[in-house]
Amino acid sequence: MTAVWEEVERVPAGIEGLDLITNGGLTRDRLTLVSGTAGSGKTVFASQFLAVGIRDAGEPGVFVTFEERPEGIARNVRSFGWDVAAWQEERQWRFVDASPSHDVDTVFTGGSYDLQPLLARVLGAVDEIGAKRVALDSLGALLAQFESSTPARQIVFRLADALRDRGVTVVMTAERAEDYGPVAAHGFEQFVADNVVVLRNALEGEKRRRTIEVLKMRGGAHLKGEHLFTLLPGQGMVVVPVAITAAPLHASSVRASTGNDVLDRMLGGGLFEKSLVLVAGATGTGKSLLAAQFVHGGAVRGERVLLHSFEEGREQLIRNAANWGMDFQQLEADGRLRIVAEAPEAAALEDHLQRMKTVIDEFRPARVAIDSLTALHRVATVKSFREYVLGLTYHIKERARLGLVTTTSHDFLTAEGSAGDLHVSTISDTIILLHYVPVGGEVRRGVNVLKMRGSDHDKAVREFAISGRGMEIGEPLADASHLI
Amino acid sequence: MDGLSGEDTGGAIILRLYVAGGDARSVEARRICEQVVRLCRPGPCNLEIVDVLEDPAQAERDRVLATPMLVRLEPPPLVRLIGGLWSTEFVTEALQLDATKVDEA
Repeated sequence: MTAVWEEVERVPAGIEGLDLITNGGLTRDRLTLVSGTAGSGKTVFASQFLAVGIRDAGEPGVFVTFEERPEGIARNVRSFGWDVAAWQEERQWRFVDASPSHDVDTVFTGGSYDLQPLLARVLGAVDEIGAKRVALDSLGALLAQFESSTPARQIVFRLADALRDRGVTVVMTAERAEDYGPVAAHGFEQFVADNVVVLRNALEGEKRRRTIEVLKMRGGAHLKGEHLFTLLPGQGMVVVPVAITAAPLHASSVRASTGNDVLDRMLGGGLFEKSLVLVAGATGTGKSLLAAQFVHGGAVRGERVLLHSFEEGREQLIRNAANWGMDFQQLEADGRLRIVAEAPEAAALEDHLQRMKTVIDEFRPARVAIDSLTALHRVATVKSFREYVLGLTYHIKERARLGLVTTTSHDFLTAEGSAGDLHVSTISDTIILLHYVPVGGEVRRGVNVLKMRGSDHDKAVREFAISGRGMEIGEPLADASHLI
Repeated sequence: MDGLSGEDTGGAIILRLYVAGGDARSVEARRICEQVVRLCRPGPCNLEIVDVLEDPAQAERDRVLATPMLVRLEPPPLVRLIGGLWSTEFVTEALQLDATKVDEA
């Protein structure tokens, strides 16, 4: 990385999440190489770059296709809500059809040639509609049309220069043989590109995992690593940023209630605003109760709260809450509580995440509770789950005042272990553990605060009971060394 | 061989040469193609020359990527030669003008 800060104007790529990762978008007047295996979403990326430029920035675009016919591309992107035909009518979108001609026998004479016509056609189209964006899709398909790569290579360099001189921002796609192989399959594309983005569509277990990674972005910092993305009808590519998780977004000293007075005291006065709480424990220890109290505590103070359940249906949830002395039906009718209850298997992880983000953005809750992450884990690959959790918790921290997530410990021994497994403990500001504790001949329930960032807290394991008033926390358990 | 002559029967030969401006390759390709037309007897052999720098729209319609490029539009099938042209003999052989339209004089 260069140590000199270079002021480079940014062009929003029009891909939700990507502009955050790239710290503002693609660099204007520059060429961004989008490298990926077959089916990794390169053509969607290129199309979206143009579509959103037209729709949101009023910037006309030229799509140069070396592989698919223009009609095919226009048809394929329709489901994302982009009416290419209409834009062509309005002279906002032009295709340069450089796809292979299959209806003609081609003979290479062995004499020299160059690709000046391609240059002339692209620049002609750019000048004709005043294009500010150009997509070249793809480099491999261009090279495949010639018996030598030299003329194509030369023209790509000349084209990049000419477009830069015209102030045009370029996205060029390129193939890779493997998701984790060399980025530059053709050996020169990295020299023509100012920015490099990699798309992956890897199989992990039996699940597909689409990710985007920014390898190089001129003139600025970007978020490193792979970020999940998904392709959504009506939206196109949506990136889930694995964000800035090292430090809390906004450290706050303002306290808020967990919805349980004793628990607030155990936390040294309640939760800090803008913090994330992890509640971990074995099945049946009371995690759903804590989540319910958490949202209830906010709602009765007049906040809008969201409870996202992957454990139970809404009817059951409302009945449970009633048994604990909370009227969820009324709170929902008042518009203060929203319950979203879904089976984890109802959608792919990325789609769940996008829906949850959409609900958060629309409903704008002060508190968000998710019960439980473990249920969602069933539909995820291990790798994507981590990124998913990071992306989600970041979104909650950014948009809401408080977040609470629950996880189930599978082995019944170490609740902490389960939190670690799901990569939640490190990003949680507060961790509350629920246990079964054998006392005498019987099993009781215990609660303790494992971690409270930025504050002193009660270290004791306290017994609690579940009643018509919810969670009733009592005295410390004398001997808590037999936690199960 | 001092000339090419078309068969008495059959339609015209139609060739189209795409060049880019006046570089050496283009000038040479023009010269060779014009000679092919002259030697093609009794004809008719039509040659159309498109300069892609002057007419990018035509290049767009015909989806031209490289120059020089010589296309045999008639008779079918469509054949295109991409790259510098070596000689008139090279062209008539590659486009099979001798086999379909040309008698040795």
